[in-house]
Amino acid sequence: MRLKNFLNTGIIISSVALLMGGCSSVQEALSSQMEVPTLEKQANRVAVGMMIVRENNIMARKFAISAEAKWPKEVTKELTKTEELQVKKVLLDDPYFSTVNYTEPIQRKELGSSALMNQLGGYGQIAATMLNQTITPLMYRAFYKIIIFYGEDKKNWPNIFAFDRTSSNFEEFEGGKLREPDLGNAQAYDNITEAMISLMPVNLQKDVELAKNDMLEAYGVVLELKSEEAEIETELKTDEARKSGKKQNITLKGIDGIETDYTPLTQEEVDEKKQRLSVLKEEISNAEKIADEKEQIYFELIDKAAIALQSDINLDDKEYIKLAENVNMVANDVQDSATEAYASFGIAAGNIAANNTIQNFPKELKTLALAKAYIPLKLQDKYNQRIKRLVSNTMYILPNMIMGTYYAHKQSVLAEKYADFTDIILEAYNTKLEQESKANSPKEDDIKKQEAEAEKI
Amino acid sequence: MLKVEKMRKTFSKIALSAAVAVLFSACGGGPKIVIPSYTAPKEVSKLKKIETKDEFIAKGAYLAIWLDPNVKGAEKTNKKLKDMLIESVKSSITQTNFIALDPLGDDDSVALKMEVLNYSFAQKGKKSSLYLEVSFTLSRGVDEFLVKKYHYRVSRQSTTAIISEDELASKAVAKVVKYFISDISPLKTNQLREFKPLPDKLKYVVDYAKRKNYKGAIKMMEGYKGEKDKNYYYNLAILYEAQASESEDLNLLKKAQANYEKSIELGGGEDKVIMDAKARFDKFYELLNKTKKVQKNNDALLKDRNSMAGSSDDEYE
Repeated sequence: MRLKNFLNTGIIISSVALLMGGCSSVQEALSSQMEVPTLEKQANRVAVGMMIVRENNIMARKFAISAEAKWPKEVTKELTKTEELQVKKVLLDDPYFSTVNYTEPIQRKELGSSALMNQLGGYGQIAATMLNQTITPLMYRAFYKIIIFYGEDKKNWPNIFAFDRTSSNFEEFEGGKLREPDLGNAQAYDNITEAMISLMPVNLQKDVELAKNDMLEAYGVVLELKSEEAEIETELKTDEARKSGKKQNITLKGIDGIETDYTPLTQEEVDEKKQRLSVLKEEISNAEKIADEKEQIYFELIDKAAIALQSDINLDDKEYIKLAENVNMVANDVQDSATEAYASFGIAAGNIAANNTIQNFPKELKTLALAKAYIPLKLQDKYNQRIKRLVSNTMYILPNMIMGTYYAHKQSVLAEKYADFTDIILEAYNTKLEQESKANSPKEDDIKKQEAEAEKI
Repeated sequence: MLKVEKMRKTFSKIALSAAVAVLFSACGGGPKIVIPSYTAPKEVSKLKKIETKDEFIAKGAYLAIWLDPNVKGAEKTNKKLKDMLIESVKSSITQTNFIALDPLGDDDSVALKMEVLNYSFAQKGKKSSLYLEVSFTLSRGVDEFLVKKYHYRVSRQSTTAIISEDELASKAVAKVVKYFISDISPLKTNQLREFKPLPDKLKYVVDYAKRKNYKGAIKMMEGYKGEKDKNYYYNLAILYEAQASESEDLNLLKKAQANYEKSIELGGGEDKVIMDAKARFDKFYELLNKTKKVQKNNDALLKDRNSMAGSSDDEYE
């Protein structure tokens, strides 16, 4: 019976993940059920989701592109074993990944497995230990993109696992130096939006550019409000967790990097914050209406350009076609990645809810403190960095999930428009190629057969 | 047990319908062909001012401009810029001969004057960029009736490609000239047309069309004795349109129009694919008609100029 329940729940989670994000997301969903139910793992999962959102932001707004740029192909291709190994090597130097193998056995003993694995009883522990996947397929893809955008030298990398609470930085990595891709001997555009606008009939380009700027401004207002909402929600949740820790008599003293002098919120403060939350919800709804309207105008202008494009497709310019191909590839990848980010946030949210990880966080920290003794001396520094990062990140899991989902949705909708637009050019180009190749090399037998058929009619 | 079997069947049906729906949505409509077309000039209202009537040359008005060989500001920036601009205008304008290049400019001719307003080239590390701004002025005598300014920045970011200033200048010139010429003259472009479903007996029509054998496809369609619905007339219309676009034959274009109308009469007016194609066809029909009419008058002008020059030099044709 337990096995049946386990299989049913597993199938449901995997199906949802498959619908949301495809194959990598299913593997992510399944492996999430094998792991020790810690908030740290969910924080890492949210960090990967945010990493995907931020990479999408790089692809959509920050990375220069041209008809001869090679990076669109690189971000969409399947990783080879060597490339996966390259990512693995990088990750093993990370504070979490370099120490997780030492802390995991104690955490599994103290915290058990996920709610789903617990349905399997004693066998669940064994199965979970065997199947736990530290580096998931989503992580391989996301980290490989970091190499593409920032190069192999880690000195130029951003702080990937650090969450940021300021609204202006939600879509941006902290630090890092983006590399300048080689764009060959073709017109260089600052980003795919500029490139896509250049593919439009000339007389529509200016209007589309203006509408795009209006839309981005309106998004900015929504994001600022959403950021405040997320911060208040985090404060309330953290307060709840701290109070719960106190009730359970869990002391956090003695763990490096953790601030233990916490003053709980008074009931008055809690009520005040809840009131501000309800006001914010109203403000967000109004700002969203305006942003949606601006977005609609921008999309309508793209649609108008798409209609005009159907009567004016510049198929003789090879650079034009190659640029359309590159924009199309990137737009499709942004869409796929946004779906993977949704899946990441969704799995994290599901696991937080199913395993009470926020309420259990003080206990989780205690298990980490116990595990410190098992960390080799040379990795103690990494362990300390890991704890500091964890404590700071858990504060921002919720805002990042909310903001990340919002951005991922916006990125996906926008990318879909770009993909649809460039599809028109590529479809026409492929049709023309097909026509030319058939016209230039007619199969005589076929023609005769068709003519005979025509005569019969 | 029966219930389980029923559920299994229902599930299979749903899965099958979903697969069919996915298949159809992925297909994205019927087979398509690309046909040549023209872009519509944006400054149509100014074209009247380019028209010249001279009954000794042509029965109707012709459209011609005289290209001023002095390009102000070009010498100071890049010595090759003047020739690049002149050659680019000649090449773009003669693409359709909607406007002829009159080799003999006089007070009564329409003159095209160009001036380089801004030019800069910069190269730093991986990045090179060239900025060009040119003004184009059309005038008859002292009446400057169309003044347009266009700018373009050519940007490169590469350490591997060999990029020269002249190459970038030539790209910028091609862009600004194209912007200007597309304002006053139709330019060649392409359109996509989608076939509606055809009866089995006409299944080879699309294959013919894909081989650009529109004549053969039309012959098959015209010989068809079965039921002729909105789709039949629409498919025939796009075949006539395709052949007309290739040969620029106005009679074929009229046949295309008649078939489009027949298709609409039979209910095609409620079909998005048919109406979208018809809307695009109408634009092209008007443009090609106008272009052909003007080209005839322009040819008469060029013949006149050639005879005046006493040679068979057809440089400007």
